[in-house]
Amino acid sequence: MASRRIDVRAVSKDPTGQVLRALYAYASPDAGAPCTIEHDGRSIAAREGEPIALSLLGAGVDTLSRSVKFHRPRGPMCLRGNCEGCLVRVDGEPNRMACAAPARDGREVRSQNSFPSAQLDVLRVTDWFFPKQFDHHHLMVRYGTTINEVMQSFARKMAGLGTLPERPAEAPLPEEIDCDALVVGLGPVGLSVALALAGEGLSVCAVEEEPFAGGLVRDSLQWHSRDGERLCGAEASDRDLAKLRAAGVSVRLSASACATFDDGTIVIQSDRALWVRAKARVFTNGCHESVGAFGDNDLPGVYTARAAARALRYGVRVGESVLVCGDEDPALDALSDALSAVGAKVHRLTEGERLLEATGSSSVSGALVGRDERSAHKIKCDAIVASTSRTPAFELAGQAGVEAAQDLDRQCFASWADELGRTQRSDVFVAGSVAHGGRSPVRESAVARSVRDYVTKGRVR
Amino acid sequence: MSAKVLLCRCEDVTLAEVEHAIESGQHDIESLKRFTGFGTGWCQGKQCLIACARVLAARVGELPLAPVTPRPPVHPMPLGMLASLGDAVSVDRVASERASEDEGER
Ligand code: FES
Repeated sequence: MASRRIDVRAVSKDPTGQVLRALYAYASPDAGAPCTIEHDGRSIAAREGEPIALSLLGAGVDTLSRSVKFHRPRGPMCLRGNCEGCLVRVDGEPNRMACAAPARDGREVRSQNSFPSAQLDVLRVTDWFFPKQFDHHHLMVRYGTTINEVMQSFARKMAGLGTLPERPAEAPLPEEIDCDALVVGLGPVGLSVALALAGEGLSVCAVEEEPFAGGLVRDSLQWHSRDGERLCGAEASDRDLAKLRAAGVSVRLSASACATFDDGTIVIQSDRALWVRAKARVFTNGCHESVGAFGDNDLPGVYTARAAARALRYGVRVGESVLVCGDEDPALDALSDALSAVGAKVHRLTEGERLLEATGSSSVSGALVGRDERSAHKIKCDAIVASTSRTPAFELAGQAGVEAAQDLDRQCFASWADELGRTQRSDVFVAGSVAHGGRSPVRESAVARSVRDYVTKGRVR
Repeated sequence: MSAKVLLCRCEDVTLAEVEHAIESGQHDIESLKRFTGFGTGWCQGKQCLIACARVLAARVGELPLAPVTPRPPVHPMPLGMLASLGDAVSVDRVASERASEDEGER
């Protein structure tokens, strides 16, 4: 399998190449110590600390798992903990997301839900048995009892994700945190809201599920200006984070808010639970991304635009020959330029064409594109970047009682809030792209003042 | 074309399956979820909810007024860690809150 590692010194000097060069000069993908991980018995060269999914992708391995029913091949799609494609067993622990688990020397990574391996799973026949769908409402009643029983017991054995861990899990004591305001999500909006809250004199706890702050800015392939300087997204985000820390905000990275109640919010930070009791909760947790609906859209080698940009940040290009398509998005142009800057051949669709189907048996080897099925033609490529409009992550605010309403402009649901970030729950606020109408850029200072008013006076309205 | 279009990757729910469910009368998003099982897997609907809602909108004319009820946990968490919270979280109170919230559901 061909290496997909980028030679960071060979990046072209054109304008987008310059951004990548700045990125690599600031945070080199080569910075981590070289190490070796095991994947299904094979040694893979990796860099200490990088996500395992990228170590594997860098070594040309893109099929990591199999789907639950059809045993279709799957691989990382989002690279940010939003899908199921990268689930693997790591050091005897099932269901680890390879895009979030860091590489360490000697780590043992195994595929699950497959026999004998994710690359070659004989249970794939299930997929061919059911050419359209798996109708569990009628399947069992159509056959006689014996065959039904056999199928049931087979299904029971094969269903589920992974097998039990080797060791019982050890959960350290939870940490309890009391604060005035909890900010969930440290993308650009969360960073500025949290900073403004600290400026209002509130005690602030800010949690971010990724191991870094900055969200889309961090993954962008464009310049950002901070304090009159032109910086790459990673450096700009780290500057913002440093300001937050200097302002006394308690920042928790790799910390996922999983559930929120009136009394508190459950956050999982690496291997420990936090119970955060905050007077006010502010949700700035942005959007989900997906690749959209086309034939075999779940094939390994199909990525969101964000994932492909993130891979570049870690010094990995998703393919040698990449189809880049999707809803109109300036980020797609920057991504295409950046992929070219690292020597990949980039294909784009022409006006009126769309992606109809990804082709390939265990990972992408081509794409069927055209205006319709009759005019379809095939492009040879080893990766497809397909982006669709981002949709608000309204779930957490929804658990807190904030109504998720139709956002007809974006054809999605979003958390309902006014322009000051206030919701129908007086202690819950939302801002940024998760909010209705995608109120971004919000006036973070105004949101912070609403929160302060609530915390100090107890009531906004 | 023989390719499957996956709307919900986690539970292997295809476009054909969702269309079939809509034809068989599942015209609201909650019923569609229960019938097909979309959104009940690892990612809890981060990818598929909107995809299914848009297919439904294309068939019945418009996007549902509200999405499915979001329930915790929104992100997978080990049971051991939930158990570790034992004393910190007043389970009784949390349970009673959920109950009163559920009563408010339509
Ligand atoms: S969750 Fe890891 S790639 Fe999507």
